[in-house]
Amino acid sequence: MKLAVNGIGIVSTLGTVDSIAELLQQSQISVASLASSAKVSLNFPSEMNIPGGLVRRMSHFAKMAVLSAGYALVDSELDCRAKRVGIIEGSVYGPITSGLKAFDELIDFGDDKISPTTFSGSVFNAAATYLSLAFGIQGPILTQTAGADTLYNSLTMASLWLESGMVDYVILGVGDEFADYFSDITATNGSNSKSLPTSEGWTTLIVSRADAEKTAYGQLEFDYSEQFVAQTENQINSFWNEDFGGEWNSLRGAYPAGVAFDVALLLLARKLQRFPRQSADGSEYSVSDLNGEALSCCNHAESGKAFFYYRCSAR
Amino acid sequence: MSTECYITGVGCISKAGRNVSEMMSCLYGGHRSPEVPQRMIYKLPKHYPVFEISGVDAAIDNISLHFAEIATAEALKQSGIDERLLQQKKVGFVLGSSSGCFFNKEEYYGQHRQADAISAEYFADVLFKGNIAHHLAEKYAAHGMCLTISNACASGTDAIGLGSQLIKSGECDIVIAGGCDELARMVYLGFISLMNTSEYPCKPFSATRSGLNLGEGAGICVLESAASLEQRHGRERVLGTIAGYATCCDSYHVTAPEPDGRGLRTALASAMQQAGLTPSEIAFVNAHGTGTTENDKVEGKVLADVFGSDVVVSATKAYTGHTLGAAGALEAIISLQCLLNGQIPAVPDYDDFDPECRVTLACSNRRIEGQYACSTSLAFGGINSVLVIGKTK
Repeated sequence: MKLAVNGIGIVSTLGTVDSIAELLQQSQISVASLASSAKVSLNFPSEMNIPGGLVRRMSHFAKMAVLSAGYALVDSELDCRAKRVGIIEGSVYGPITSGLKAFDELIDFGDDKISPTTFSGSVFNAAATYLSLAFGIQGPILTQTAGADTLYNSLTMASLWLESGMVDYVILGVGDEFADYFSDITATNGSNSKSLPTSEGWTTLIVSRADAEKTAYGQLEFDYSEQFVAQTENQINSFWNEDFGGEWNSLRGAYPAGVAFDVALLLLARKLQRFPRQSADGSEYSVSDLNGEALSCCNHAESGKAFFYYRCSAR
Repeated sequence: MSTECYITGVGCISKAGRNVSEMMSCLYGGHRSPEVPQRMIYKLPKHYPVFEISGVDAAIDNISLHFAEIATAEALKQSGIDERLLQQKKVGFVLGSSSGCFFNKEEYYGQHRQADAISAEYFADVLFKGNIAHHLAEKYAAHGMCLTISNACASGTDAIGLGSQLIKSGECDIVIAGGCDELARMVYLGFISLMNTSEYPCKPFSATRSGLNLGEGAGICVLESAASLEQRHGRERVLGTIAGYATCCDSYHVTAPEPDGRGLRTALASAMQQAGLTPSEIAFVNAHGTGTTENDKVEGKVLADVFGSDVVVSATKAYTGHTLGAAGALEAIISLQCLLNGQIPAVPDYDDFDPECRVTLACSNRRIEGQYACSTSLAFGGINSVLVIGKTK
């Protein structure tokens, strides 16, 4: 399947698309020089025109999703109120901080003390809800979770919606939040497990049918195979577990939905013709020019029996 | 997307029955019995009745999945599809769950807080990965798309609707679609905090309605393409079709429905357009009908405007409770069974319908004629989802 990508919004410890684009202009990126914080900072630019009262009611999880979508909408110049727009939001872990806070309230304060705000913030589709409210989107709205398949499934459903004519554009967001409890687990259990996140982030793509006349970031083709396809020069492994080669985990931090960031970075790298390659010891990335090549990445399916491939090209 | 999406098997479990036949007997018999929760332990000054499935072993690790497995086994048996066939075809699993099964992990979390010996990997996997579709696919060793929908109370409807899109687009030959949810302390106490839970048996569309009763269960439909049916010579298995599906958002408020029901009107119009039907061709509507003040008022008004105030409406949460992620799937199955039986169930024990809701429910079981029904779901976040279900001719 193929989609046209019209805009990208990124919320990450590396910053937004603009700051990542600046990073790609360097010849080398030292991992030690990158932000070490697990959490992203979130500031809503006034030009997004999102009411302050609405922002205050959002959880950190919802804020990441909405801010990332806001950046993507600005980037794409899409007028949500003039077009038929759908929302697909995916997350591997969901709003865990709000969910755990709700558990904490029950355990610490008693069964009749759970706050309705905390409870409603812990509902999985809260992020998509706030996104629809922030930008006045009245189209179809979907929140889904599918482990390592989350990005692939989101793209598939977006493609079905677009091909069937349900919508003209899809705001497709995928991300995960870091919870302090991950640090607590590591401290409590003395674990240095690579299966726990070290970071968080949210990536949003504005996608339309592959045959769209205009596309700012070219086309994104995605497919799956039950066999691992040997790595080419311009393909990265985007596996969540570093043991299998999460090649950009050191750039963005590791979190299960990080493959969405990697795909966005590929789209940006192809547009800018600048590609970061990890050094053998993992301490830095050297950024080199491209010659118009297509870029791709691969990640492992949740079942452990298949691989997803994402290929970014001009057409 | 032009091909049909057929329903070849259905299965369910809820307080109203442990299979489809039991559930429909319960509904047509007018039996309902919301009770004080038994499995959950809590401290509150008063009780709020729930439709809890009795005899469930509280030690089961994932009760939602357990319910989904029961319903799937029934649905697959009716469809005549065995496990070997599931492994040969492109099979999708699309399951709705209001929280991705997160809310049933309070006990694990409590243990973690006490620094109990839970491994980091186990904690992260069990607590946060609520991927019920994958769990179910693994059981059948099937490979294909696995999608867990968390669209709050519309999850079950959306799972079936999106499953039908996967069939119609040719992405899948067979989709196991539906929803499941269990009663968990967090959900029970959270809904009480939102003050939309009733101390009494719920009364959808009644003038004296005072809120919803939570429930639990699962509903599963086996959806299949024409090509798949042809290949396995299974035409006689067809029970009905998913003729139309639409969903759209109010963009109005986090929890309250848009007062004029704009989103629901749009979803109804789109779903019927997709099915190629006019309102007069809809035999009845199985309403979301939670028994909460605002939901029923908005929904009733829209249904009366779209279908006319003499539209036949059923509101079966009065028998199953509000089963959240399972609700839309259970109600899709009930709608199909009502079409096949030519009869919708009466509302139980009350007839004080709210004139503001503008729809009247049947006070006794009512005969219906026609090929198609609509099932509606309105959810947290302003989601409005509609299925148009057809029966075999």
